[in-house]
Amino acid sequence: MRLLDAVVQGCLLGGQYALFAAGLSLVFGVLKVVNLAHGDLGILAAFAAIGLAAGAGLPLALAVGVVLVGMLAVGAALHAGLLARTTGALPQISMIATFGLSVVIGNTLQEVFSADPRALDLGSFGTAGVTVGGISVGLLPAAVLAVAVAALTGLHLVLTRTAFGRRVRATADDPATAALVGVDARRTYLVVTALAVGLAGLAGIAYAASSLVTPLAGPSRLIFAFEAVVIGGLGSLWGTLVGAVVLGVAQSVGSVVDPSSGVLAGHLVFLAVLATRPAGLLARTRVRA
Amino acid sequence: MTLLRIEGLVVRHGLLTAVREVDLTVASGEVVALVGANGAGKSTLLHAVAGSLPVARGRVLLGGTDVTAVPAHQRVRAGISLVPEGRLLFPGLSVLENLLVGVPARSRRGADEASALPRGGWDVERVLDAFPLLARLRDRPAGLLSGGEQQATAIGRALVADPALLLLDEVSLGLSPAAVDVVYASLEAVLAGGVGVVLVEQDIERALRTATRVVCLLEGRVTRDVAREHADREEITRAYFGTGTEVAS
Repeated sequence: MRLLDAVVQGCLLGGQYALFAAGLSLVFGVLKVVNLAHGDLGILAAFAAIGLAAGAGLPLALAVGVVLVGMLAVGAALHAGLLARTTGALPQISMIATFGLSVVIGNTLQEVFSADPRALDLGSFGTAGVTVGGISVGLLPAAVLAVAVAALTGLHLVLTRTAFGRRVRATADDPATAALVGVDARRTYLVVTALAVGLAGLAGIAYAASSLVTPLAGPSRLIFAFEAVVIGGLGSLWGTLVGAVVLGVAQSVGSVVDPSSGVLAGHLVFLAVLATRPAGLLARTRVRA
Repeated sequence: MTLLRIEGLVVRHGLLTAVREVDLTVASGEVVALVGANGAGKSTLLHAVAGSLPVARGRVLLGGTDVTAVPAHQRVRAGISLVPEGRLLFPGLSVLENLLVGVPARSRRGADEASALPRGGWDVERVLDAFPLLARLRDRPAGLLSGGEQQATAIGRALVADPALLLLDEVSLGLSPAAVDVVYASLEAVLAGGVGVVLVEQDIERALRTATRVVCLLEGRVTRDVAREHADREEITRAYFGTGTEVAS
């Protein structure tokens, strides 16, 4: 029963990782850029929501809505101001640029909010739960998993069923040829980056609602998101969900074996997948499917 | 009417000058065959007209409008479509999705001045009617098509944008003779539609059969520019290889 409980809690934890990983996977799949500031952008959204809700006294829903819209704008600005100037150059250039952004965001947040851990207060919903078959399921983690599945499903439908999705997949395949059939690759990249940073914002808010968050938590979120993306298969949306759940379950089950080794267990599973299936578990279902 | 006017065009690949001071005009309904040996600058010229290669000097005018600085995706809206060498389909997209990728650009075309140019009135339905092969394969991923099927899809994809000027780069390259016949048979509907066509073709016989004008390129320069009825194979071959040619003024 204890093991089953760990698996269930791991799946729920995977929802949080999937939200963080979805945007990372999207940007990598389309722009071929590993955005090292992805975790920090999530933490930026978390602190912005905390600041608006707890600091400025805005209703929680309004604060979250304002932050998510703001993160879309931040994503657009990130592409226009940084990635558009580095995309197409050596991949290392954009990685270094986003690494620099990561450092700037983390340290700026620490300067503004101090290093004290904070959380987004959801009231009683944050701790509410139901017991199913003897296993306690928190409503908030279940809601986060549901949001992650909904976000990935929505992203999948947009990519496969809409004209915008066709343009995204064509641009991901070959931006120069996409331009020859009338697709504005730069604009497509900008919208994709905005969506990805919006998803990072959603993930950061979900994280701050679930646990204490510090200004320098971005890189650890990035590592978990990166591991989820690699376990599932680079650029694969459904693989990202599978990878996130596998990582969450590995950490949760690892904690049962040894309470201090949960994160280590996740890293070991990541290494095992890299060694045995370097393309990831669902490598065939790329971002276009 | 003059559809395309190229004036003093120079295109470089790094230190190499691939196109040198080329002047060329194409009228609506005209089919211009660009012939020349490998490295003559034919594909480079087409890509410069399509906007996918930067121009070092000179101008490209479409319907009298200077489009030299216009990016490639906007030139599609203005009326220029290129079928690139090697087809370059999107392999993960189905045939129908490949055809539809350019559709939103077409719906926004109303704002462009160049939309007044004569066009063939192509859309997805007409392309599927004209290429029954594509209608049968519409849901198949483009990466799984044969060479001939890929070429038909690439031509269809360019036509869906309803171009005023169609640029065809080596449409027969790498195809079996039977597949080439199918591709050229399907092109007849395009050529009959009144759009201007610039055709790069290694097969001189086929180029002479299809074109209304033949332009020879040698080392980036135009060495011969004649109406088909005044061109004979021997003369074109000499211009092609640069033996006994006179440079067009």
